[in-house]
Amino acid sequence: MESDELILQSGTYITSFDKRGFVKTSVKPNSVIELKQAIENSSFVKQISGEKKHPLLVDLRNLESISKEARDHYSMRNREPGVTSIALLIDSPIGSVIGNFYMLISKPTVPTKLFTDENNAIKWLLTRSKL
Amino acid sequence: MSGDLQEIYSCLCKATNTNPSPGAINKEAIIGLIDLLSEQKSNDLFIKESYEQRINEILKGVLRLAEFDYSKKIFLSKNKDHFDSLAEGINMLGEELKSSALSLTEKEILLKEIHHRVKNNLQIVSSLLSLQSESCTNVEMDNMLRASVARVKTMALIHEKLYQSKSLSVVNFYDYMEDLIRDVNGSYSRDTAKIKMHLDIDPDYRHLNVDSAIPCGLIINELLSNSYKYAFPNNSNGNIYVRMGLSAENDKNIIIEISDDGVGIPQNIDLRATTTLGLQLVTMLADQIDADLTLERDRGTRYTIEFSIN
Repeated sequence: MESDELILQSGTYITSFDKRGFVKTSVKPNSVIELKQAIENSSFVKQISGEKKHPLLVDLRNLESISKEARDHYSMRNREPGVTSIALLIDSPIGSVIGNFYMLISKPTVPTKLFTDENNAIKWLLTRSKL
Repeated sequence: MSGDLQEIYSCLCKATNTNPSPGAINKEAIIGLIDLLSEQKSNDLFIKESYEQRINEILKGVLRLAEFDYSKKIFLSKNKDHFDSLAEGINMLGEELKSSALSLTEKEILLKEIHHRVKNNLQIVSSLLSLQSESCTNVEMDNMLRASVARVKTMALIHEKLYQSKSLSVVNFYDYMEDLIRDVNGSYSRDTAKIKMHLDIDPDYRHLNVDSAIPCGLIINELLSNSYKYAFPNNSNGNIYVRMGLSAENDKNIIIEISDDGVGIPQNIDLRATTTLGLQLVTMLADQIDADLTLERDRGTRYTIEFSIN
Protein backbone atom coordinates (compact mmCIF):
# COMPACT_ATOMS: atom_id res chain seq x y z
CA MET A 1 0.00 0.00 0.00
CA GLU A 2 1.27 3.45 -0.92
CA SER A 3 2.46 5.86 1.74
CA ASP A 4 1.78 9.58 1.58
CA GLU A 5 4.34 10.15 4.31
CA LEU A 6 7.22 8.30 2.80
CA ILE A 7 9.90 10.19 0.95
CA LEU A 8 12.80 8.16 -0.32
CA GLN A 9 16.04 9.87 -1.20
CA SER A 10 19.08 8.56 -2.98
CA GLY A 11 22.12 10.45 -4.18
CA THR A 12 20.41 11.27 -7.44
CA TYR A 13 16.61 11.05 -6.92
CA ILE A 14 13.92 12.16 -4.51
CA THR A 15 10.88 9.92 -4.70
CA SER A 16 7.56 10.48 -2.96
CA PHE A 17 3.83 9.84 -3.18
CA ASP A 18 1.63 12.82 -3.99
CA LYS A 19 -1.74 12.75 -2.24
CA ARG A 20 -3.45 13.62 -5.50
CA GLY A 21 -2.70 10.09 -6.57
CA PHE A 22 0.62 9.81 -8.30
CA VAL A 23 4.26 8.99 -7.58
CA LYS A 24 6.79 11.72 -8.20
CA THR A 25 10.47 11.07 -8.70
CA SER A 26 12.80 14.01 -9.26
CA VAL A 27 16.36 14.00 -10.42
CA LYS A 28 18.59 16.00 -8.09
CA PRO A 29 20.63 18.89 -9.53
CA ASN A 30 23.49 17.95 -11.87
CA SER A 31 22.84 14.25 -11.54
CA VAL A 32 24.55 11.72 -13.74
CA ILE A 33 22.40 8.61 -13.82
CA GLU A 34 24.26 5.32 -14.12
CA LEU A 35 22.84 1.79 -13.89
CA LYS A 36 23.21 1.68 -10.10
CA GLN A 37 21.17 4.84 -9.64
CA ALA A 38 18.54 3.66 -12.12
CA ILE A 39 18.09 0.33 -10.30
CA GLU A 40 17.83 2.12 -6.96
CA ASN A 41 15.29 4.54 -8.38
CA SER A 42 13.10 1.75 -9.82
CA SER A 43 13.19 0.05 -6.47
CA PHE A 44 12.16 3.26 -4.66
CA VAL A 45 9.30 3.89 -7.09
CA LYS A 46 8.05 0.33 -6.49
CA GLN A 47 8.40 0.77 -2.74
CA ILE A 48 6.43 4.02 -2.74
CA SER A 49 3.75 2.62 -5.09
CA GLY A 50 3.20 -0.43 -2.92
CA GLU A 51 1.04 -3.09 -4.48
CA LYS A 52 -1.03 -0.63 -6.49
CA LYS A 53 -0.19 0.84 -9.88
CA HIS A 54 0.06 4.61 -10.06
CA PRO A 55 0.82 7.32 -12.59
CA LEU A 56 4.45 8.47 -12.41
CA LEU A 57 5.84 11.96 -12.75
CA VAL A 58 9.54 11.95 -13.59
CA ASP A 59 11.19 15.33 -13.17
CA LEU A 60 14.21 15.33 -15.46
CA ARG A 61 14.86 19.06 -15.28
CA ASN A 62 18.09 18.68 -13.33
CA LEU A 63 19.38 15.72 -15.26
CA GLU A 64 22.96 16.13 -16.44
CA SER A 65 23.25 12.86 -18.37
CA ILE A 66 22.09 9.25 -18.34
CA SER A 67 24.24 6.28 -19.31
CA LYS A 68 23.33 3.65 -21.90
CA GLU A 69 23.09 0.99 -19.17
CA ALA A 70 20.66 3.12 -17.17
CA ARG A 71 18.56 3.79 -20.28
CA ASP A 72 18.54 0.05 -21.01
CA HIS A 73 17.43 -0.64 -17.44
CA TYR A 74 14.45 1.71 -17.83
CA SER A 75 13.70 0.38 -21.31
CA MET A 76 13.65 -3.23 -20.09
CA ARG A 77 10.28 -2.58 -18.51
CA ASN A 78 11.81 -2.24 -15.06
CA ARG A 79 9.87 0.96 -14.56
CA GLU A 80 6.55 -0.03 -16.00
CA PRO A 81 5.12 -2.89 -13.93
CA GLY A 82 4.18 -0.52 -11.12
CA VAL A 83 2.99 2.45 -13.16
CA THR A 84 -0.01 3.22 -15.33
CA SER A 85 1.41 6.22 -17.23
CA ILE A 86 4.55 8.34 -17.23
CA ALA A 87 4.90 12.12 -17.57
CA LEU A 88 8.45 13.28 -18.23
CA LEU A 89 9.13 16.81 -17.10
CA ILE A 90 11.87 18.64 -19.03
CA ASP A 91 13.00 22.21 -19.47
CA SER A 92 16.23 22.09 -21.47
CA PRO A 93 17.22 21.08 -24.99
CA ILE A 94 19.21 18.16 -23.54
CA GLY A 95 16.23 17.06 -21.44
CA SER A 96 14.11 17.17 -24.57
CA VAL A 97 16.59 14.97 -26.47
CA ILE A 98 16.83 12.45 -23.60
CA GLY A 99 13.04 12.38 -23.19
CA ASN A 100 12.40 11.94 -26.90
CA PHE A 101 15.13 9.33 -27.09
CA TYR A 102 13.47 7.34 -24.31
CA MET A 103 10.08 7.51 -26.02
CA LEU A 104 11.36 6.65 -29.51
CA ILE A 105 14.08 4.09 -28.76
CA SER A 106 12.88 2.47 -25.55
CA LYS A 107 9.23 2.54 -26.63
CA PRO A 108 7.55 2.43 -23.21
CA THR A 109 4.48 0.19 -23.06
CA VAL A 110 2.48 2.57 -20.87
CA PRO A 111 1.28 5.98 -22.13
CA THR A 112 4.22 8.39 -21.84
CA LYS A 113 4.39 12.10 -22.64
CA LEU A 114 6.89 14.96 -22.38
CA PHE A 115 5.97 18.18 -20.57
CA THR A 116 7.69 21.47 -19.87
CA ASP A 117 5.02 22.57 -17.39
CA GLU A 118 4.58 20.61 -14.16
CA ASN A 119 0.89 21.51 -13.72
CA ASN A 120 0.06 20.29 -17.21
CA ALA A 121 2.00 17.10 -16.54
CA ILE A 122 0.06 16.44 -13.31
CA LYS A 123 -3.25 17.29 -14.98
CA TRP A 124 -2.52 14.79 -17.75
CA LEU A 125 -1.45 12.07 -15.30
CA LEU A 126 -4.59 12.49 -13.21
CA THR A 127 -6.80 12.46 -16.30
CA ARG A 128 -5.08 9.26 -17.44
CA SER A 129 -5.56 7.64 -14.03
CA LYS A 130 -9.34 8.13 -14.32
CA LEU A 131 -9.52 6.34 -17.68
CA MET B 1 32.56 69.21 -41.80
CA SER B 2 30.16 69.02 -38.86
CA GLY B 3 27.54 67.55 -41.24
CA ASP B 4 30.00 64.80 -42.19
CA LEU B 5 30.75 64.08 -38.51
CA GLN B 6 27.04 63.95 -37.79
CA GLU B 7 26.54 61.39 -40.57
CA ILE B 8 29.51 59.25 -39.41
CA TYR B 9 28.24 59.41 -35.81
CA SER B 10 24.72 58.34 -36.87
CA CYS B 11 26.10 55.42 -38.89
CA LEU B 12 28.30 54.26 -35.98
CA CYS B 13 25.37 54.51 -33.55
CA LYS B 14 23.26 52.39 -35.90
CA ALA B 15 26.04 49.83 -36.45
CA THR B 16 26.73 49.45 -32.72
CA ASN B 17 23.06 49.59 -31.78
CA THR B 18 23.77 52.60 -29.52
CA ASN B 19 21.37 55.44 -28.71
CA PRO B 20 22.79 58.78 -30.00
CA SER B 21 23.83 61.26 -27.25
CA PRO B 22 21.91 64.49 -27.19
CA GLY B 23 25.09 66.61 -26.78
CA ALA B 24 27.60 67.85 -29.32
CA ILE B 25 29.44 65.27 -31.39
CA ASN B 26 33.15 65.27 -30.72
CA LYS B 27 36.20 63.23 -31.70
CA GLU B 28 36.17 61.16 -28.47
CA ALA B 29 32.56 60.09 -28.97
CA ILE B 30 33.35 58.87 -32.48
CA ILE B 31 36.54 57.03 -31.35
CA GLY B 32 34.55 55.44 -28.52
CA LEU B 33 31.96 54.12 -31.00
CA ILE B 34 34.70 52.85 -33.36
CA ASP B 35 36.25 50.90 -30.44
CA LEU B 36 32.84 49.52 -29.50
CA LEU B 37 32.19 48.46 -33.08
CA SER B 38 35.57 46.78 -33.29
CA GLU B 39 34.92 44.90 -30.05
CA GLN B 40 31.47 43.82 -31.22
CA LYS B 41 32.85 42.61 -34.56
CA SER B 42 35.54 40.69 -32.71
CA ASN B 43 32.89 39.08 -30.47
CA ASP B 44 30.73 38.23 -33.48
CA LEU B 45 33.71 36.62 -35.16
CA PHE B 46 34.49 34.66 -31.99
CA ILE B 47 30.90 33.44 -31.73
CA LYS B 48 30.84 32.56 -35.44
CA GLU B 49 34.10 30.63 -35.15
CA SER B 50 32.89 28.90 -32.01
CA TYR B 51 29.64 27.87 -33.75
CA GLU B 52 31.55 26.64 -36.77
CA GLN B 53 33.85 24.61 -34.53
CA ARG B 54 30.93 22.98 -32.73
CA ILE B 55 29.08 22.25 -35.96
CA ASN B 56 32.26 20.62 -37.28
CA GLU B 57 32.60 18.54 -34.10
CA ILE B 58 29.02 17.30 -34.49
CA LEU B 59 29.51 16.56 -38.19
CA LYS B 60 32.67 14.61 -37.41
CA GLY B 61 30.71 12.62 -34.82
CA VAL B 62 27.99 11.80 -37.36
CA LEU B 63 30.62 10.79 -39.93
CA ARG B 64 32.28 8.50 -37.39
CA LEU B 65 28.92 6.75 -36.87
CA ALA B 66 28.44 6.49 -40.63
CA GLU B 67 31.78 4.65 -40.72
CA PHE B 68 30.74 2.40 -37.82
CA ASP B 69 33.37 3.96 -35.59
CA TYR B 70 31.98 4.10 -32.06
CA SER B 71 35.28 4.79 -30.34
CA LYS B 72 34.80 8.51 -29.69
CA LYS B 73 31.94 10.63 -28.44
CA ILE B 74 31.20 14.22 -29.38
CA PHE B 75 32.51 16.64 -26.78
CA LEU B 76 29.80 18.38 -24.73
CA SER B 77 30.31 21.91 -23.42
CA LYS B 78 28.87 23.02 -20.10
CA ASN B 79 26.48 25.41 -21.87
CA LYS B 80 23.71 22.81 -22.17
CA ASP B 81 22.58 24.59 -25.33
CA HIS B 82 21.10 23.25 -28.55
CA PHE B 83 24.52 22.16 -29.80
CA ASP B 84 25.00 20.10 -26.64
CA SER B 85 21.55 18.57 -26.95
CA LEU B 86 22.24 17.61 -30.57
CA ALA B 87 25.62 16.17 -29.59
CA GLU B 88 24.09 14.26 -26.67
CA GLY B 89 21.42 12.81 -28.97
CA ILE B 90 24.05 11.68 -31.49
CA ASN B 91 26.21 10.22 -28.70
CA MET B 92 23.23 8.25 -27.37
CA LEU B 93 22.40 7.06 -30.87
CA GLY B 94 26.03 5.93 -31.25
CA GLU B 95 25.72 3.90 -28.04
CA GLU B 96 22.56 2.23 -29.33
CA LEU B 97 24.17 1.49 -32.70
CA LYS B 98 27.28 0.06 -31.04
CA SER B 99 25.13 -2.20 -28.90
CA SER B 100 23.09 -3.37 -31.93
CA ALA B 101 26.28 -3.97 -33.94
CA LEU B 102 27.70 -6.09 -31.13
CA SER B 103 24.57 -8.16 -30.79
CA LEU B 104 24.46 -8.58 -34.58
CA THR B 105 28.05 -9.85 -34.58
CA GLU B 106 27.20 -12.32 -31.81
CA LYS B 107 24.19 -13.56 -33.80
CA GLU B 108 26.30 -13.94 -36.94
CA ILE B 109 28.85 -16.03 -35.04
CA LEU B 110 26.05 -18.21 -33.65
CA LEU B 111 24.44 -18.61 -37.06
CA LYS B 112 27.78 -19.62 -38.60
CA GLU B 113 28.22 -22.15 -35.82
CA ILE B 114 24.73 -23.55 -36.48
CA HIS B 115 25.39 -23.91 -40.23
CA HIS B 116 28.72 -25.55 -39.39
CA ARG B 117 27.08 -28.03 -37.05
CA VAL B 118 24.23 -28.79 -39.47
CA LYS B 119 26.82 -29.46 -42.17
CA ASN B 120 28.80 -31.74 -39.82
CA ASN B 121 25.68 -33.66 -38.82
CA LEU B 122 24.62 -34.07 -42.44
CA GLN B 123 28.12 -35.35 -43.23
CA ILE B 124 27.78 -37.90 -40.47
CA VAL B 125 24.43 -39.03 -41.90
CA SER B 126 25.97 -39.25 -45.36
CA SER B 127 28.93 -41.28 -44.01
CA LEU B 128 26.58 -43.67 -42.23
CA LEU B 129 24.61 -44.18 -45.41
CA SER B 130 27.86 -44.76 -47.33
CA LEU B 131 28.95 -47.39 -44.84
CA GLN B 132 25.58 -49.03 -45.13
CA SER B 133 25.90 -48.97 -48.89
CA GLU B 134 29.32 -50.63 -48.79
CA SER B 135 27.98 -53.58 -46.85
CA CYS B 136 24.88 -53.86 -49.02
CA THR B 137 24.70 -56.81 -51.40
CA ASN B 138 21.45 -55.89 -53.07
CA VAL B 139 22.20 -53.68 -56.12
CA GLU B 140 18.86 -51.92 -56.04
CA MET B 141 19.21 -51.12 -52.36
CA ASP B 142 22.79 -49.99 -52.92
CA ASN B 143 21.67 -47.56 -55.64
CA MET B 144 19.02 -46.15 -53.37
CA LEU B 145 21.54 -45.67 -50.56
CA ARG B 146 23.99 -43.97 -52.91
CA ALA B 147 21.27 -41.63 -54.18
CA SER B 148 20.46 -40.76 -50.58
CA VAL B 149 24.13 -40.07 -49.84
CA ALA B 150 24.24 -37.66 -52.79
CA ARG B 151 21.09 -35.87 -51.59
CA VAL B 152 22.40 -35.45 -48.05
CA LYS B 153 25.76 -34.21 -49.40
CA THR B 154 23.92 -31.69 -51.59
CA MET B 155 22.27 -30.21 -48.52
CA ALA B 156 25.47 -30.32 -46.47
CA LEU B 157 27.27 -28.41 -49.20
CA ILE B 158 24.73 -25.57 -49.01
CA HIS B 159 25.34 -25.23 -45.26
CA GLU B 160 29.09 -25.30 -45.85
CA LYS B 161 28.77 -22.50 -48.42
CA LEU B 162 26.53 -20.56 -46.06
CA TYR B 163 28.93 -20.46 -43.15
CA GLN B 164 31.74 -19.60 -45.54
CA SER B 165 29.75 -16.73 -47.08
CA LYS B 166 29.76 -13.21 -45.70
CA SER B 167 26.02 -12.70 -45.71
CA LEU B 168 24.96 -16.06 -44.14
CA SER B 169 21.72 -15.90 -46.08
CA VAL B 170 22.81 -16.15 -49.71
CA VAL B 171 24.92 -18.74 -51.50
CA ASN B 172 27.31 -18.12 -54.36
CA PHE B 173 25.68 -20.57 -56.71
CA TYR B 174 28.63 -20.70 -59.09
CA ASP B 175 30.98 -21.94 -56.35
CA TYR B 176 28.28 -24.25 -55.13
CA MET B 177 27.70 -25.73 -58.58
CA GLU B 178 31.41 -26.34 -59.11
CA ASP B 179 31.55 -28.38 -55.89
CA LEU B 180 28.25 -30.13 -56.57
CA ILE B 181 29.38 -31.20 -60.06
CA ARG B 182 32.65 -32.49 -58.60
CA ASP B 183 30.67 -34.53 -56.03
CA VAL B 184 28.24 -35.92 -58.61
CA ASN B 185 31.18 -36.77 -60.88
CA GLY B 186 32.94 -38.56 -58.06
CA SER B 187 29.92 -40.61 -57.10
CA TYR B 188 29.74 -42.48 -60.43
CA SER B 189 32.19 -45.18 -61.19
CA ARG B 190 31.83 -44.74 -64.97
CA ASP B 191 34.43 -42.90 -67.07
CA THR B 192 33.24 -39.39 -66.39
CA ALA B 193 36.05 -37.92 -68.50
CA LYS B 194 33.94 -38.78 -71.51
CA ILE B 195 31.21 -36.49 -70.28
CA LYS B 196 31.98 -32.83 -70.68
CA MET B 197 30.38 -30.47 -68.21
CA HIS B 198 29.48 -26.91 -69.28
CA LEU B 199 28.66 -24.42 -66.56
CA ASP B 200 27.28 -21.05 -67.62
CA ILE B 201 26.07 -18.90 -64.74
CA ASP B 202 25.30 -15.21 -65.23
CA PRO B 203 27.77 -13.35 -62.95
CA ASP B 204 25.07 -10.81 -62.02
CA TYR B 205 22.70 -13.51 -60.77
CA ARG B 206 24.96 -16.06 -59.18
CA HIS B 207 23.68 -15.53 -55.65
CA LEU B 208 20.64 -17.40 -54.38
CA ASN B 209 19.00 -17.07 -51.01
CA VAL B 210 19.01 -20.11 -48.77
CA ASP B 211 15.28 -20.79 -49.30
CA SER B 212 15.82 -21.24 -53.03
CA ALA B 213 19.36 -22.62 -52.91
CA ILE B 214 18.58 -25.89 -51.08
CA PRO B 215 15.66 -26.96 -53.34
CA CYS B 216 17.59 -25.82 -56.45
CA GLY B 217 20.68 -27.75 -55.33
CA LEU B 218 18.63 -30.90 -54.77
CA ILE B 219 16.84 -30.53 -58.12
CA ILE B 220 20.13 -30.07 -59.96
CA ASN B 221 21.66 -33.01 -58.13
CA GLU B 222 18.77 -35.27 -59.25
CA LEU B 223 18.84 -34.07 -62.85
CA LEU B 224 22.63 -34.25 -63.16
CA SER B 225 22.59 -37.72 -61.64
CA ASN B 226 19.94 -38.79 -64.18
CA SER B 227 22.07 -37.48 -67.03
CA TYR B 228 25.12 -39.32 -65.74
CA LYS B 229 23.16 -42.51 -65.20
CA TYR B 230 20.96 -42.69 -68.27
CA ALA B 231 21.86 -40.14 -70.98
CA PHE B 232 25.07 -41.71 -72.23
CA PRO B 233 24.76 -45.51 -72.31
CA ASN B 234 27.68 -47.80 -73.11
CA ASN B 235 30.22 -45.29 -71.84
CA SER B 236 29.54 -42.98 -74.78
CA ASN B 237 30.73 -39.36 -75.05
CA GLY B 238 28.45 -36.46 -74.31
CA ASN B 239 27.84 -33.00 -72.88
CA ILE B 240 25.89 -31.79 -69.90
CA TYR B 241 24.96 -28.12 -69.67
CA VAL B 242 23.96 -26.13 -66.60
CA ARG B 243 22.86 -22.57 -67.31
CA MET B 244 21.55 -20.02 -64.90
CA GLY B 245 20.49 -16.43 -65.53
CA LEU B 246 17.69 -13.93 -65.70
CA SER B 247 14.62 -14.81 -67.76
CA ALA B 248 14.56 -12.94 -71.08
CA GLU B 249 10.80 -12.51 -70.79
CA ASN B 250 10.48 -11.59 -67.12
CA ASP B 251 13.38 -9.80 -65.43
CA LYS B 252 12.06 -10.79 -62.01
CA ASN B 253 12.53 -14.48 -62.73
CA ILE B 254 15.57 -16.72 -62.62
CA ILE B 255 15.92 -19.56 -65.08
CA ILE B 256 18.00 -22.67 -64.45
CA GLU B 257 18.47 -25.00 -67.36
CA ILE B 258 19.95 -28.50 -67.07
CA SER B 259 20.35 -30.26 -70.38
CA ASP B 260 22.32 -33.00 -72.06
CA ASP B 261 22.82 -34.23 -75.63
CA GLY B 262 22.33 -37.84 -74.70
CA VAL B 263 19.74 -40.41 -75.76
CA GLY B 264 16.84 -38.44 -74.31
CA ILE B 265 14.27 -39.32 -71.71
CA PRO B 266 11.67 -41.90 -72.88
CA GLN B 267 8.48 -40.35 -74.29
CA ASN B 268 6.30 -42.35 -71.92
CA ILE B 269 7.74 -40.67 -68.82
CA ASP B 270 5.40 -37.98 -67.54
CA LEU B 271 7.10 -35.58 -65.10
CA ARG B 272 3.94 -35.07 -63.06
CA ALA B 273 2.98 -38.73 -62.91
CA THR B 274 6.32 -40.43 -62.54
CA THR B 275 6.94 -43.19 -60.04
CA THR B 276 10.70 -42.68 -59.74
CA LEU B 277 11.73 -41.04 -56.49
CA GLY B 278 14.28 -38.72 -58.15
CA LEU B 279 11.79 -37.11 -60.53
CA GLN B 280 9.10 -37.04 -57.85
CA LEU B 281 11.55 -35.07 -55.73
CA VAL B 282 12.25 -32.72 -58.62
CA THR B 283 8.57 -31.86 -59.12
CA MET B 284 7.97 -31.58 -55.38
CA LEU B 285 10.94 -29.25 -54.85
CA ALA B 286 9.99 -27.16 -57.88
CA ASP B 287 6.54 -26.70 -56.33
CA GLN B 288 8.20 -25.73 -53.05
CA ILE B 289 9.89 -22.71 -54.65
CA ASP B 290 6.84 -22.04 -56.82
CA ALA B 291 8.81 -22.75 -59.98
CA ASP B 292 7.62 -23.64 -63.46
CA LEU B 293 9.25 -26.88 -64.50
CA THR B 294 9.36 -27.85 -68.17
CA LEU B 295 10.87 -30.81 -69.97
CA GLU B 296 11.95 -30.86 -73.63
CA ARG B 297 13.05 -34.03 -75.33
CA ASP B 298 14.56 -32.72 -78.59
CA ARG B 299 18.15 -33.80 -79.14
CA GLY B 300 18.68 -35.06 -75.63
CA THR B 301 16.92 -33.83 -72.51
CA ARG B 302 16.37 -30.28 -71.35
CA TYR B 303 14.82 -29.31 -68.03
CA THR B 304 13.97 -25.66 -67.40
CA ILE B 305 13.14 -24.34 -63.94
CA GLU B 306 11.87 -20.77 -63.76
CA PHE B 307 11.13 -19.08 -60.46
CA SER B 308 10.81 -15.62 -58.98
CA ILE B 309 13.91 -13.91 -57.53
CA ASN B 310 11.87 -12.87 -54.54
